[in-house]
Amino acid sequence: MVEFAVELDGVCKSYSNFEAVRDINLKIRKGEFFSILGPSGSGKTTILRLIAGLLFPDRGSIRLMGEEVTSVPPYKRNVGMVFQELALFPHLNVFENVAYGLRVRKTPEGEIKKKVKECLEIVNLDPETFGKRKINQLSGGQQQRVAIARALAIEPSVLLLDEPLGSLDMKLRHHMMSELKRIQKVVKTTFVYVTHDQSEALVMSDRIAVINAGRIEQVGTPAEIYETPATKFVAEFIGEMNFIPAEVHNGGLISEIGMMKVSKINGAKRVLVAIRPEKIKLGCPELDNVYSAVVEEVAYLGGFLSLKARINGICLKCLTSSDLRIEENQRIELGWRADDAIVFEA
Amino acid sequence: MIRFFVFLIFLFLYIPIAYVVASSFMDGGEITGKWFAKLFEDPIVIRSFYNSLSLAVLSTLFSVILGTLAAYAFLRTNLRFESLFYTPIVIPEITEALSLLLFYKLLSFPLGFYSVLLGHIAFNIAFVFVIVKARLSTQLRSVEEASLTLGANEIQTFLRVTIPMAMPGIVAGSLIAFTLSWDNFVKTVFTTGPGFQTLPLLIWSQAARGIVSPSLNALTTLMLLISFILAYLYARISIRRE
Amino acid sequence: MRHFLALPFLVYLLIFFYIPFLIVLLYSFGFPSFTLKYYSEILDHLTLKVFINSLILASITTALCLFLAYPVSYYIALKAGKWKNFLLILVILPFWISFLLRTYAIMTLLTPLGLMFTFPAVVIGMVYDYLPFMILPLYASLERLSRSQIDASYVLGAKPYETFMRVTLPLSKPGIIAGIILVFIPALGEFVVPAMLGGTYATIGTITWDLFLRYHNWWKGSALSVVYMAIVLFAITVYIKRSGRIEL
Repeated sequence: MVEFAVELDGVCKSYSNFEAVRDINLKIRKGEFFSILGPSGSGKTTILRLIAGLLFPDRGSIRLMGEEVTSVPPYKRNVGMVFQELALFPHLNVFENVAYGLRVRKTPEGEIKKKVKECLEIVNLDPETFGKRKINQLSGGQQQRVAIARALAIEPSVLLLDEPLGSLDMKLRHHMMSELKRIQKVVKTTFVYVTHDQSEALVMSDRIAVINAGRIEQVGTPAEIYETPATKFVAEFIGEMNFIPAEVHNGGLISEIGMMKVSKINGAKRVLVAIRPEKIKLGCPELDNVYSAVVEEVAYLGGFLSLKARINGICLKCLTSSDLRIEENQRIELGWRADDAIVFEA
Repeated sequence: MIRFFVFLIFLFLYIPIAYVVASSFMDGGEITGKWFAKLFEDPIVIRSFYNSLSLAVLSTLFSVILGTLAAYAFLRTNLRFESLFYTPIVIPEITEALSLLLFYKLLSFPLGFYSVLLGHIAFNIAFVFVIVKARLSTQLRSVEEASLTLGANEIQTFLRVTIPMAMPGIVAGSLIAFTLSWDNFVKTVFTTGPGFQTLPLLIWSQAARGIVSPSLNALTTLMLLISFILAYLYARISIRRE
Repeated sequence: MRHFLALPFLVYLLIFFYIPFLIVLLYSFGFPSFTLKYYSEILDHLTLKVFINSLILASITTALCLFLAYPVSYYIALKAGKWKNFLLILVILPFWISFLLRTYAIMTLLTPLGLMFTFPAVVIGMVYDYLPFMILPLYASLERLSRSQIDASYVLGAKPYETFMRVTLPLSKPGIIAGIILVFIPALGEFVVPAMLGGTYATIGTITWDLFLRYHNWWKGSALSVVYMAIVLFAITVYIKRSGRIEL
């Protein structure tokens, strides 16, 4: 019994003049919804294409379901891929698009019919209504569903999704996110999902790999990534974060806003203390760190107030309940627990 | 007022054509088809028609193959110096024609069907290249990749995806190539030899002497009809693509 | 690896297009010997007269085409409404008919009018053949101009005439330049029209024909073609520099 659907071991890939990914080690578990999250140009699509066999690594090895596939061509890998541009076959109708992979496998006609019907039903497209339609007669969301059905029809060992929701509008995107999650529960296939959108990754994934400049910064569950970012990049890239430069003096921290208590300090002399806006509390004098600040800006967000509060030269973003009545230039007391602050090397 | 002016311009563009077509059906005051009947009895016309047709078909075939492959290569890689590919389009035809003539003379290449055909292909491939390239979907690359991930190897992908997707461009390129060859005059007249005559050359041999005749009108009408059919087919595939 | 697919194409063009041009260049310098005498020969007053004839004819043709085409393009682009596509088809259709046939068509009208073998006949034939080449690029540039740009000019207080001079005309300049080049260059070397309608009106086109097909004077003919090509390449280079590419 193999535990991992995808294993990348020391994978490197360079293009003529730049290094796309360097020393990638990844183990993606079977049946997992795994996201690769990073800014554009970080190399996440390269990783996906390496798994698919559309690119071959310069160094390192790739295993699919325990089998070595490093130099196996894409058509022998049995991976499903949903492309960013969808890449549906414009000259074939919906049925034939989904049937394509089965046809080249010389699957008997009866089985093709059954499988295509099943896959279209999984993605909530009625085979009777949509089977005969041309691709250009479908809406964006429907095309999305056909692309997923087409990739699922070959019963892939892993389904690769390359920013498939990028072209959809906000509302449809949210709908498709829960759809993808549902489909994954039904088919139980391993999903590897590439995106630059942190909310997509946080909502859908079992685990996330955050990637930057061709290297993996952190792998973990959404909560781990958000609560305990391993690097400054992850802290900054995921969610909102305040950074306060500080120096270590006799085991304590001194910064422009005064002394700070944190739960642990690494070896560096100059550090950055990171604190999430929602971890900053107002009017709780019992907290480990308490400061007096002046409100510079108030934005009303419905259930919440977003504040910008200044302590000397440092401006902090805070998120607080909108029950409080706070105005600009008001003097407030704010603070946070030592455990909620994370320390990075500056 | 501008409307009236535009109307006059279109009259100017189409009255001569209408006049030729109308007079090819007229004999004195009578409507007749006899000029066409005469054409079909004339062995020189039949021979020239056959020559024009085989020239157009063969040059279309070769130029579509070469031009499509080049356009495909261009899409898949970052080939540079694109202007080298379409220079034949922007160079005046007469210059191209005379340079081919010199080329053949220098090589003592016999002038006739083959010299004309080779020249037509040289001219047509650039057009096919530009037209096929413009119509190749920019998504073709990722659609081919989708096919590969679905288990089709390179040859299957080429036959099942690449060719069908390039088809509208190939058909459009073929129609243009056929038209260019079918009624080409300048290139043909410079590179032909004794004994090889096409329909345009036949029209020229009389019209150049200022002769306007009913049978010439009929021949022109026939060629116009074929041009219109080709244009119509081209418009149909272009509109379907929208 | 895939770019090898372009190889047959390039080899073919090399053999049947680029090498022949080199041969023309060789002949213009007196191949197999070397001399500049053919270039000096085409500077004699007779050939010079032909150049001037061609320049006059091409200039008149271009100017007439521009003045006749502009209102047509303007109308199709901005005023035609539901007739737009139909009129566009009427403009494009002549591109599918060779100059030989279209010149013959206008000849059938010029003959009963008694105009054959006169300079006006040549001009009418040229304008008839080249007009679509001017309408289309003008239309393309006017089409890009949006109705709201013109409305904006009106709202800002410009009268129709002022709007035309200050907005429409400047914005259609790329089309005007493209049209001029598309008409002027081939018109300069035009052979079919003057040969069929002009009788003895000699142009670069007709004299090239005579030198090659009647007198078999490859050397002088080549020198003439090289000079013509130099003019053409200069014009095209200027155009590409300005517009960045060639549109069909």
